[in-house]
Amino acid sequence: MNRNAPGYVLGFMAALCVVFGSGVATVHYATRDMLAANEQLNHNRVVCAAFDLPVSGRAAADYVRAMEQALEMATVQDGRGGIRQVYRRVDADAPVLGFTFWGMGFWDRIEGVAVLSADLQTLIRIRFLDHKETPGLGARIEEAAFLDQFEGLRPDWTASPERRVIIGSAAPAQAGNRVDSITGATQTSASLMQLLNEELERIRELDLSELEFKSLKETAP
Amino acid sequence: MNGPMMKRPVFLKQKNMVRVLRALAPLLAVCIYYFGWRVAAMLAVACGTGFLTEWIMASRRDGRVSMACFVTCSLYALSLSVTVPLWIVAVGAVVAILFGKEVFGGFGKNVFNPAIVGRGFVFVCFPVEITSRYVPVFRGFPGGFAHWSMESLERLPTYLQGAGLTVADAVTAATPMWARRDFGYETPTLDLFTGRIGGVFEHEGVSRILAAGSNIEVCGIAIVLAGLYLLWTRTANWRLTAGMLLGATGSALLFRYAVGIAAVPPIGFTLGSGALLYAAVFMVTDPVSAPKKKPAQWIYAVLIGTLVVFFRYRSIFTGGVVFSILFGNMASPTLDRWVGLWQARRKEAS
Amino acid sequence: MSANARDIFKAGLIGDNPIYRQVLGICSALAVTNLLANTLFMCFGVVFTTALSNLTVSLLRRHIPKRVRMIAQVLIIASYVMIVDTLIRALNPDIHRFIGPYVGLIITNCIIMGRAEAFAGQNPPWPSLLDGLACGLGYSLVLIVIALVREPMGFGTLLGYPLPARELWWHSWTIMVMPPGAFFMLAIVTWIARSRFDAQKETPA
Repeated sequence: MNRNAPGYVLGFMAALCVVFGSGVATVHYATRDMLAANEQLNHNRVVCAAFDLPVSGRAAADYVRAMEQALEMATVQDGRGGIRQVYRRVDADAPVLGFTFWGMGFWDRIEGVAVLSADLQTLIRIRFLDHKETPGLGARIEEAAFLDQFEGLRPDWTASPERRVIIGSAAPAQAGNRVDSITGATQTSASLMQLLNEELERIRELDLSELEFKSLKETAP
Repeated sequence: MNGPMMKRPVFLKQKNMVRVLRALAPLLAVCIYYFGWRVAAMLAVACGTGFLTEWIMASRRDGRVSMACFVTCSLYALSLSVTVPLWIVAVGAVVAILFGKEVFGGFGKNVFNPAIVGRGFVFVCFPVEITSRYVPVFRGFPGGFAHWSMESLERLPTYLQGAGLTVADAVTAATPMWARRDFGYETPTLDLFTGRIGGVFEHEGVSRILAAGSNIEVCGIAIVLAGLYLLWTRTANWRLTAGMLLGATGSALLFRYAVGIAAVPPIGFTLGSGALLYAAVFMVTDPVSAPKKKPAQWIYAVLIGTLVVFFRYRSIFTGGVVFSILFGNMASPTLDRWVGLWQARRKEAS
Repeated sequence: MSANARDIFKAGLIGDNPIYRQVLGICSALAVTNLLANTLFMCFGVVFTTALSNLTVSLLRRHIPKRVRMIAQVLIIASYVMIVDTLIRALNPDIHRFIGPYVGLIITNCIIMGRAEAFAGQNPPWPSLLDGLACGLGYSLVLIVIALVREPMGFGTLLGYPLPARELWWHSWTIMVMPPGAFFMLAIVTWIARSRFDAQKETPA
C-alpha cells in the first residue's frame, strides 16, 4: 500500500487522533473527581488557615468538618464576572469575615482569602489560594515572615484608595498601614499592593447586610 | 588534559594598559579621600583574585598574564560602592576574568567588557549588598585618609550630625539618583561633579541622608582629567567617549524637552550622576569589545549613551550603564559587519 | 544487558548526552533547575515521555506516512505529556502547583522529538525504548548536577531541607535562583564534561 497516498495519510492521522485522543480523554475523565477534590481540598485548607480554625487531622474530611462547625458562607456576584465567597465565623465571640480576592500579580493571577474584622477596620490574616510568582523571589509572598505582617494591620480607610495598605517603601513615610516588601521582588510586591487595595475597595462597597449567609452543610454540593 | 601545573607568570607588556593604570592612580587617591582606605583594600582584593584567576588559566596556555587583568579588576573595584563585602568583591573579580575573558580564550578574544561582566554579575547576584547600602562622603582635611570607611565609624562626621540620624541611617541612605527619582530631591549639579555628596534632605516630613553611589561616582572632575590624559596620549579612542556623551546628551534633550518627560533629568544631572562619565572614559573605550570600524564606533557609542538615559528612566533600578554597555558589546560585531558591507557596496558603486 | 543495550546507555548518558553534547532541551534545563524537587519531577516526566514516545513511534514506524511524520510524532508526544500532567495533578496537586507550568513544556523539549526522529523512526521497539530511557536519563543527569549547585547556592536548602548551620556561613546567590544562573551552570557543566569525556576523540576542526 502506498504510504504517501492522500487517503492513507488522512486515514492514518484520523486513526492516530482517535486512539490518542480517547486515551487522553479517558485519563482525564478517570481523574476528574480527584482533580475537583484536590481543588476543593486546597481551597478548604487555605480558608482554615486564614481563619486559623482548629483542624483535627490532615484528611479532606477534617477540613470540611472544621469549616462546617465554624463558618457560614454567602456568595456575591462580582462585577468582573467572578463569584466572591464571603465567610462568616460564627463560633467565636467577635464576628470576623473572610473574603476571597483575586487580581493580577506580576506573572499571573493571584488569588487568596482575606479575613477582616466585621467592621472591616482590621485585617486578621491573609492567605493565598493560587499564584504563579517566581519561585524563590515573588513566591515568597507565601512565607510566614511576609504573611505574618498582615496580622492586625489596619487598612487606612481615610487614605487614597491606592494607599489603604502599603507594601514596601511607598510614601507616606510614617504610615502605620505598611508591611515590608519582599527583597528582590519589587514587581510582585507592587502588583500585590495594587490588587489588595483594589479588592479592599470592592469589599468595602459590598452591602454586607444584604448577604444571605448559609450554613456550609446546606451549600455543600 | 594535564593537571593544573602552575607556570611562572610572565607579564604581557601592554603600554596602553600601563597608561590606563597610571590614569587610575589619582582616581584611587580621590576615592580614598572621599570614602576611606577600604577602597584601597577593595582594589587590592579584586586585583589579587583577578590575577590568580588569570594566572591559573594562563598556565594552561603559555603562562602569559596580561596587564589588562589589573585594569579590568581596578575598573571593576572602583565601580562598586565602598560598603560591598570583600568576599563579594573577590567573586566579581573571578567572574570578570574567568567568564568575561578567559573562557573566550584570553585577552583580545572577549565579546564583553570583562569589568562590566563582573559588575553585572555581582549586581544581579547580590542585589541587596550592592544596591541598598550607600554611605555619604568624608569632607575637609584629611577626609577619608584618616578613616577606614564611614560604616566603621561610631559617630557620623560633624557635617552630618543632627536630625537624630545615626551611622546605620547613613549606610541605607539614598544616592542622588534614588533621591531624585523617589523623593524628588535634586542634588545640585556642581556637587555631583565635585563630589560634595552627603547631607540631609527632607521628604514628606522624614529626614534622609544623601549618599554617594559607587566609589567612582563622586569625582566627575577627576574623571574628566584622567580622560583628558588618556585622550591626549591616544590611549582611549576619542570617538567612543565623545559618542557616548553625545548619545546621552542628545537623548536626554530629546526625552526631556522634545517629548516632555520630567522623569528624565536635565543634562548636567544626567552627565554628572551615576557612572556615566566613568563609563564614557574607561568602559566604552575598551578596544577589545568595541567595534573596529569608525562609523560603527560612532553608532556603538551613541547607542550606549542613549540606552543609559533610557534605562535610567524606564527600568526598576536607577542606573543603566552596566546593561547598556553589555547590550552595546553584544551589538558590536554586527555593527562592524554591517558597516563593512555598507562600505564595500559604496566602493563597488563608485 | 547485551552489548548493544550497554552501548545505547553509554551514548545516551555520556557520549551523545542530549544536553551537553547535542545541546537539546536547554529551555527546561534553565527553567526547573533552581529547586532539586522540581528538577526530579521534570526528569521523571521527560524519561517517561521520551521512552514511551520512542516506543510508540518505533512500533508505528512502518505505518507512519513520511510526509506527516512530524505531526504524528507531536501528536503522540503531546498525548503522553497531557496524560503525565493530568496524573500529577490528580495524584499530587501540591507538586503540580510548582511544576505544572513546566510539565506543558515537556512537549517542546527537543530531545523527545529529536530521539523519535533520529532513532525510533529507524530502529525496532526494544532498542528504541532503551534509547528513550537512556537519553531521558542523560538529560536528568545533567539537570540534577545543575540543581545540586543551584538550590544550595540560591536558597540554602537541598530538597527543601536547610543546609547545616547555614546562618553561619551561607549567603544567597540570587543569580542562581534566576534563569541566568542556569546559563552559567550549564556552561560550566558542559565545559567540564567535554574536557573530561571528549578529550580523546576531539580533533581540531
